[in-house]
Amino acid sequence: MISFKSERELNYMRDAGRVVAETHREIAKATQVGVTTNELDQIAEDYISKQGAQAAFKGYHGYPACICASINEEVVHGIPSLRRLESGDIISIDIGAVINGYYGDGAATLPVGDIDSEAARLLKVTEESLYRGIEQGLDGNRLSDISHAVQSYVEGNGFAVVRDYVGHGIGSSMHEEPQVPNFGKPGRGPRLRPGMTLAIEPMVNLGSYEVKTLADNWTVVTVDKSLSAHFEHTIAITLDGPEILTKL
Amino acid sequence: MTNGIMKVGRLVSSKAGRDKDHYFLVMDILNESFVRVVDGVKRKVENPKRKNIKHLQFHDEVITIIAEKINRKERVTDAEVRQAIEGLVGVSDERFGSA
Repeated sequence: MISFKSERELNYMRDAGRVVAETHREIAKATQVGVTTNELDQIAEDYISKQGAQAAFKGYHGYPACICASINEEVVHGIPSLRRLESGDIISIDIGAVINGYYGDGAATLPVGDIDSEAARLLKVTEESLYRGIEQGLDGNRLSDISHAVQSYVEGNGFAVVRDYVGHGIGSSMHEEPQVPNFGKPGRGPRLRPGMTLAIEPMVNLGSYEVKTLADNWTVVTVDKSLSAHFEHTIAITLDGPEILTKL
Repeated sequence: MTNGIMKVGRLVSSKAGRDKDHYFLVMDILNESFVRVVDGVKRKVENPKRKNIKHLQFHDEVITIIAEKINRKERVTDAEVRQAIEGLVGVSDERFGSA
């Protein structure tokens, strides 16, 4: 069942979204050659708790860290470790925070040092595809209008969208209905109405869309080892159009 | 954090009914609306349960070893399924096991 949020609930989600956005800002400052993903995780944990929020991912089905840090061919759910970032890497940082029982969820893929032009184009296209999807978050549109906007922009630029993982409804749980795929025909699925809150999150591969999960049961990688990027915002559908909750 | 959708080897739980909150693994995908699931206890590999995906909560975890076995059409045992589910979510639900 899709839950519709009251103004009070949306205010809690705005708070959680703001913490997610600010944590992204802190991580972006620290993301440079030589830093470990464990160090980035610690920065996120400290910042989130300082804001009186909790990290949403830690302990979620046993997930061991505050952030997901997915490097290069890792698509999503990379577990922070002692791995040091190298120049030319791209790293997707996914952060979730919960305040007063309501969630915010957002991701961005950052360049480390100097990245090559194809990787830079992958980041640009993936981020733009997120905004193309968000633009469709209008009262009266259908859910798959978002999915279609993402897919057509990504594939029009010669990249592939991941099929096995999708965006989701969000609110008093991190994963609520509906699922928000990044592919599909337009004009399908539930009608978007004010009060719906969605996490839209295109995952885009330079090569094939196929992915697999590593033996740690979390880290999702591209089967062909091509680079993958991931951007995400939590949005609310309002009468005035989509409101991005995880942006400063 | 992304939400995992239907895929063999994925951990799912039932949203309603007498098996509510009980965990299963996806054994095969019948079409875009139905999958078959097993738990290795009440629903064994020989007799999977057909489920509408609307009635399942899909979790992020995929048991890679089991997924690869299924994809290679190798035999998966009930013990493997049980151990995999217990490894992810703890001991399986006794109430359901005796229902």
